Amino acid sequence: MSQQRETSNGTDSTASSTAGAQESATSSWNSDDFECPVCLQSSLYATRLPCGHVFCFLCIKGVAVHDRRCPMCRSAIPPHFLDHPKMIDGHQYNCARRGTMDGYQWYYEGLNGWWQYDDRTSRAIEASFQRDDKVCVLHISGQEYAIDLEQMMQARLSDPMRRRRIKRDLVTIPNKGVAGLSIQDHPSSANNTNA
Amino acid sequence: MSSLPRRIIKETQRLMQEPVPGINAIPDENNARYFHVIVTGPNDSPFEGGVFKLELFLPEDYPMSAPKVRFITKIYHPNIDRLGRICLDVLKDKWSPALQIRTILLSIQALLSAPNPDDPLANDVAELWKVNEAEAIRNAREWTQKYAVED
Repeated sequence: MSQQRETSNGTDSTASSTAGAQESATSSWNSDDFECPVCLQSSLYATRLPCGHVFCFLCIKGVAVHDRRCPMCRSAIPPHFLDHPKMIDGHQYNCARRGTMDGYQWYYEGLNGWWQYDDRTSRAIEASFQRDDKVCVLHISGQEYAIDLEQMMQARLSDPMRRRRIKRDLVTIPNKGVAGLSIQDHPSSANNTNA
Repeated sequence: MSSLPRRIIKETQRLMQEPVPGINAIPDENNARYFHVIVTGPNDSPFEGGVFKLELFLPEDYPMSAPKVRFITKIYHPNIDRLGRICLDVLKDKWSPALQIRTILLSIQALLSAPNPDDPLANDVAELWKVNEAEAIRNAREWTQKYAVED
């Protein structure tokens, strides 16, 4: 199905050997082991493009703003793919509510509700919050953001007019989903209980 | 207020831990996005024996856009102009965020082994390379001895 999975990880030979069981099932394969070729970290909300190459959802979203082609093989990313991405680990796993600390989580405001930050960003904001930082600067989806912990706002550094409110709230509040991955959306990928 | 993306930190660590033969890239003390690069001239090329200094800069939106790379050492090559600017597709429209500092420098090293006078930047050099390759290669050797070999 995705012969290209191994080659998509040309920079990390250890991970490509663990993907050797590709023929059998994706369930034996943990996306945490997979290094995203864009951020060089373990892939977060791993997304498989139609060509078979795997990236963090936020990384490929950031790439697509500049160039709607796969960074590995340059095949086109279909127009609505990022609205209904094919997730490696399944939607339920990705949208699982994880309180990073004493039952709280970080959120940013969207249309008609709040999005949970991705796990990595959430942990970074919480670390700054615990240190009583006034501001932290984070890289999200290829952009640099200033997270203002006094005003509780995030702003894009390259375009400070793009501001959103943020909040630290209980992990149990109703939300839209995680980092642009909507809870409402149930693509066919939710068949993997790899968590 | 800017911070260094994890990817740049990781690439830098790996360049130090597993250096590429014939290539040396060291970040500047004061600017982690600016690298001092040394590429040795490939064997069996007119640049053999030469030690070429380059500068490499990772722009704000790297890896969404390509590193900026320039030869500092003078070099006689059809795809490198007198300001050291390099005509190489992966530095321009063929850039992909899956490429890295390492792969870009390997491409530059390969360009020294395989000049491409049909896609020139330094026009007079490319012209001579096409009409009289032997003389062009002689010039390239001379320039290598003159500018890229330390006494």
